[in-house]
Amino acid sequence: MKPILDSIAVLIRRSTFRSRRAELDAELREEMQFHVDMLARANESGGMSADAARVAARRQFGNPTTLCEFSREQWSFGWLDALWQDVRYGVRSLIRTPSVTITALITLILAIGATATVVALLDATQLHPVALPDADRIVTISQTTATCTDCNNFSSGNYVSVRDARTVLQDVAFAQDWGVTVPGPSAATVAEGMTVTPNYSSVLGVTPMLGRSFTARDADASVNRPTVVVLSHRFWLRQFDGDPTVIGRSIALNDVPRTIIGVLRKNDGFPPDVDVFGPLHLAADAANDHKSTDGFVVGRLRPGATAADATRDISAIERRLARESPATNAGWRFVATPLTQYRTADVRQAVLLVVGAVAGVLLIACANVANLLLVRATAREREIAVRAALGAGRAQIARQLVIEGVVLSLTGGLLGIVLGAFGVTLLKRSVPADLASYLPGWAAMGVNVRVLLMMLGVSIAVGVGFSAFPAFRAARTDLTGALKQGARGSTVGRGLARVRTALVIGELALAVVLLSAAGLLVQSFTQLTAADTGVHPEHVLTMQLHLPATLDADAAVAYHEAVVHRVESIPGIRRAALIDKLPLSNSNNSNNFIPDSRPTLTLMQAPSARDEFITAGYFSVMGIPLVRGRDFNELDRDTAAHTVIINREFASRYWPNGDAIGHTIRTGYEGHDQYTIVGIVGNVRYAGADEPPRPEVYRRMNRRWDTDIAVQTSGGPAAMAHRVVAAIGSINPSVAITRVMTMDAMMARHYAFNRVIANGLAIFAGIALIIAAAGIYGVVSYSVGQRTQEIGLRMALGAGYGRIMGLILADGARVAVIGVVLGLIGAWFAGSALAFLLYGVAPRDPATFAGVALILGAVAIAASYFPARRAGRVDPVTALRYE
Amino acid sequence: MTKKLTRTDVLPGTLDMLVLKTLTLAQMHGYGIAQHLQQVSRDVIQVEEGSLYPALQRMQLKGWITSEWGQSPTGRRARYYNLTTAGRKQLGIEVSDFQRAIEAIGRVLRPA
Repeated sequence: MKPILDSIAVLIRRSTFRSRRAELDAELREEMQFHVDMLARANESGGMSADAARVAARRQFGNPTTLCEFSREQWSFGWLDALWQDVRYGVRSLIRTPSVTITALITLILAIGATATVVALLDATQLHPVALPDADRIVTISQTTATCTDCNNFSSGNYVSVRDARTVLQDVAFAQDWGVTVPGPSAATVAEGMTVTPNYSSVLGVTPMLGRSFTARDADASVNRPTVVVLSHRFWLRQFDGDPTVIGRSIALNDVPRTIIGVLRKNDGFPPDVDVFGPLHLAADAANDHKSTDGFVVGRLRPGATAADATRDISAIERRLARESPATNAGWRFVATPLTQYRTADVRQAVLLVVGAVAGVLLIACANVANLLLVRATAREREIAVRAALGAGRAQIARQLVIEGVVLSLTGGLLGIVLGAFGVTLLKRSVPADLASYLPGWAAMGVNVRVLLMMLGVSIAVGVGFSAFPAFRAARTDLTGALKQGARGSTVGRGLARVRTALVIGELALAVVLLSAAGLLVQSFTQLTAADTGVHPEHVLTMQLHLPATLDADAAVAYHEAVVHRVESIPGIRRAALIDKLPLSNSNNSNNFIPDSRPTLTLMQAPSARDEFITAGYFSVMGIPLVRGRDFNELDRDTAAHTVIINREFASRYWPNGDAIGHTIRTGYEGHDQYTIVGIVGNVRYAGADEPPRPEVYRRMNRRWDTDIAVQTSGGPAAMAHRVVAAIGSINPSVAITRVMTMDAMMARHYAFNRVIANGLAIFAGIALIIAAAGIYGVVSYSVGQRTQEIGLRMALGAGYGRIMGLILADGARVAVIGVVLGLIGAWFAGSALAFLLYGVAPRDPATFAGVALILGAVAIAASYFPARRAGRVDPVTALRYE
Repeated sequence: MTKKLTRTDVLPGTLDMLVLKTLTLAQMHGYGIAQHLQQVSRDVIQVEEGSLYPALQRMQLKGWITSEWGQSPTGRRARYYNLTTAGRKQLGIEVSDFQRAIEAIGRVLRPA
C-alpha cells in the first residue's frame, strides 16, 4: 500500500513542478548563479584577482544550461514533453502549407466519416446488438430442421421438458406472441405484445425502471388473459409521454383493462420490438403440447457454462423426446444460441460487404494523403537537413513526421466522426421503423463510446499508415545534397514519381472495384423492383385491420362483410377484398396440404403451400389472372361448401396431366379437412421477385382477427386513404387500422434493404472516384512540374502546344489504363462476394465492367487535362533557364 | 600526499545519503552542502555540481527534502534545503544498508 501512495505522491509533485516550470527554471538559474558567485568569492579570498576568480569559478561549475536541463529532467515527464513539442511543431508546419493540409483534411473527413457510419452499423448489428448487461450468459433455444435452420421457435411441451431436466441452464423462461390493439386519440393502434413466464425478467437480468416485474401470483391470476402488464420504454414514451405516475393506472388492451405494474429501462426490453409484456400461465395441456411451435424460449447459463454445453444438454433431451413421441418430435434439432447472435446472421453478409467497401475508400484516402505528404516532404528537404545537421537523429525526425501525420488524421477523424453521426441519422431514416425494429441493435445505433474508441484507433492507424513511408523516406535525406543551394535532385524526383504513380494506380484499381460493385447493385435493385411478382395492382390502396380478440368468431365474420360492403359503397372505389396477408408484407403463412393424386402421404410428408384466406374479388383487385375455373362467390359462403382455389404451380406439380379442377386436397387435423378445387390462378411471389414459385392455396375468409384489405380505386389511391379509413373506422372504432399505404409503396418498402445497400455503395464509389481523380491530378501536375525543363526543350526544338498536351495526357492515360486493368481483375474476383445480393444481373457482367472502365477513363483524362494545358503553356525561355 | 580522488569518484549511490546526513545538521544551500562534504571528508569527497543539483531536484521530488528561499549570511538570496521526516527515515534505511554492505566487503577483504 505504502509504495502505491508514495508513487502517487511523487506523481502529484511531478505535476506540480511541471506546472510551475518557468518559475522553477528561473529559481534554478538563480541558485546556480549563487553557487558560482560563492565559488568566485572563495577563489578571490584564496588570492586570485576578481576576474580570474570569476573565470575559474565558472569553469569549475560547468555549463549552467546543461545543468539546468539535467536538473529539470528529474521532474519533467520526458517523453510527454517531447511528444507535445512534436505535436506543436507538426501543427505549425501543417498550417504553413495550407493547400496540402486542407486537401488532405477533406479527403480524410470524407473517408473517415463514411467509416464511422459503417463502424456504428457494424457495432449495432453485429458486435454489440443486445444492450443487456449479461447478454453473453443468456441463450435463445430453438427447434430447427434441415430446411429451416434459422427458425426461432419452440413448443411449450418441449419447454417444460427442458425446464424440468437438469442441465447447464440455470433457468429458462417461455414467451408467446400477444398482439394487442391499443386505444388511441383518434383511432385504435396496434402494439407488439408478449406473454412471458414470471421468471422472464430474471433470466434476462432485467429490473424495471419503474414498478416491478411479474410474480407467480400474477401468472396464476392471468389464466385466460393477462391482467397486469409491464411496458417497454419506447411504448411508455409514445403512449404516456414518459409520465412517471403510470404505475397502478389502467390501460385497455384488446378492449380489456389491464393494470400497469412496471416500465422498463431504455433498450432493456427483449425482443426489441415488443411494446407490452403480460404474464403467461402455462396450463397443463400446454405443458404436454409438444406440437405447436409458437413459443420463444430464453435461458440463463450457469456460471462457466457455454452455449455449446447447453446445446449438448438439450440435444440429449431432444433425442429422448424423439424416442418417446416420434409423431411430434422426430426430425427436430434443439439448439441454444447466444443472445448476442440474435438476428445478427440475417444481415451479416450485407454488413460485411459494406465494411469491405468502406475499407476500400479508406485505403484510397490513405494513398492520396500519402501522396500529398510525399510531395510535401520533398519540399521540406532543406528544413529536415538543417534539423539533422543540428543534431536530430533519424528516428527523431521520422517520429516527428509521423506525429504530424497523426495530428492530421486525428483532426480529420474528429470532424469525420461528426459527419459519420450525420450519416447514421440518414441511415436510420432510410429504413422504415418497423422493419428496423426487427434488428436488436438498430434503434440504439449511434456513435457511442465503443464506436468512438474504434474510430480513434482507426484514425491513429490511418495517420501512422500514410505518414510512415514518407517519414522514413524524408529522414533518409542526404544531408549535403539537400543543403546545397538549388538542389533539385532529379534522380530523387524520378524515384519519388514512380512511388507516387504506383500509389495512384492502386487508388484507381480500388475505385474500379467499388464502382463495379455499386453498378451491379444499382442494376440489381432496378431489376428487382421492375420484376414481375405475379400481381398487377392498379391504383390499389392497402391497410391492415386488427380486431380486438373480444369479438367472437361470428362477429368477426360479420365485420369482414360489413367492411367490404361499406368500402365498396364509397364513390371512387371499384372493388375491395380482404386477404389474411398481402404479398410483400413479410409474412410466412404456410401449411401442408395432401393432394388427392398422392393419397398415401401423411400430413407431415405432404407438400407445404402458402395458405391464404380471402374474400371474393381479391384476384381481380390485385390483378392476378384467373387461369381456369372460377373465383369464390355466394355459393361458397356456406362453410360446408369447403371450396378452395390453388395456383398454377400447385396444379402443374401434382396434376400435371389433366385439369386440377374438381380434385381435392386435404389438410387440418391429421388431414381430415377436405377441400374441392374450383379455380386455378396465376403464381404470386409473396416474398418478392427473388423467390422461386411455390404452391399456393386460397380459402374463403373465415374468422380472422388480423386481416389486410386491398382496395382498388379508380385513381389516386393515396388521396382516398382518409375516406376509406374513416368509413372502416365508423363500423367499429375499436378496430386498429395500420400500415395504410398504396400497393406501389408497399412494393418499394419491401426492397428498402436492397435500396439502402445499393445507395450506400454508390455513395462510397462516388467518394472513391473523387479522391482518385484528385490523386491523378496531383501526380500529373507534379510530373509536369518536374519536367518543365524537358518541355521547354521540346518546345524550343519545335514541338507545338498540341504535341505537348498530348504527351502529358498520354502520361495520365497510361496511369489510368494500368489502374483500370488491375481494377477490373480485382472486380472479377470480388464479384463472387456480391453474388448473394444480386438479382437479374451476373456478378461479372461485362456491360457493367465496360461502363466502369469508360467512366474511369474519362475521369482520368479530365483530371490530366488541366496540368496538360499548363504544360502546353510553358514558356520555353523561362523553362530552360529554370533551375 | 593522498591521491586526490577525481571529482567523479564519490562512491556511487551514496550521494543521496551524504546529502541527507549533511542536512541533519542544519538547513543548507547547495554550495554549503558541497563545501561541508569537502571539509568534513578532508577534501576526499568533492561533489560535482552536475551531480548535486539534479540529485537535489530528485530528492525534492521524492519528498525527502524541501526547499525555501532565504537570506545568506552575506545578504544574498539563496535556496535552503531541509530534511523531512520521510527524508530522515530514508537516511536511516540508506545508512544501515551502506553499513551492511561495508561489513560484507570487509569480511571478504579480511585475511583468511
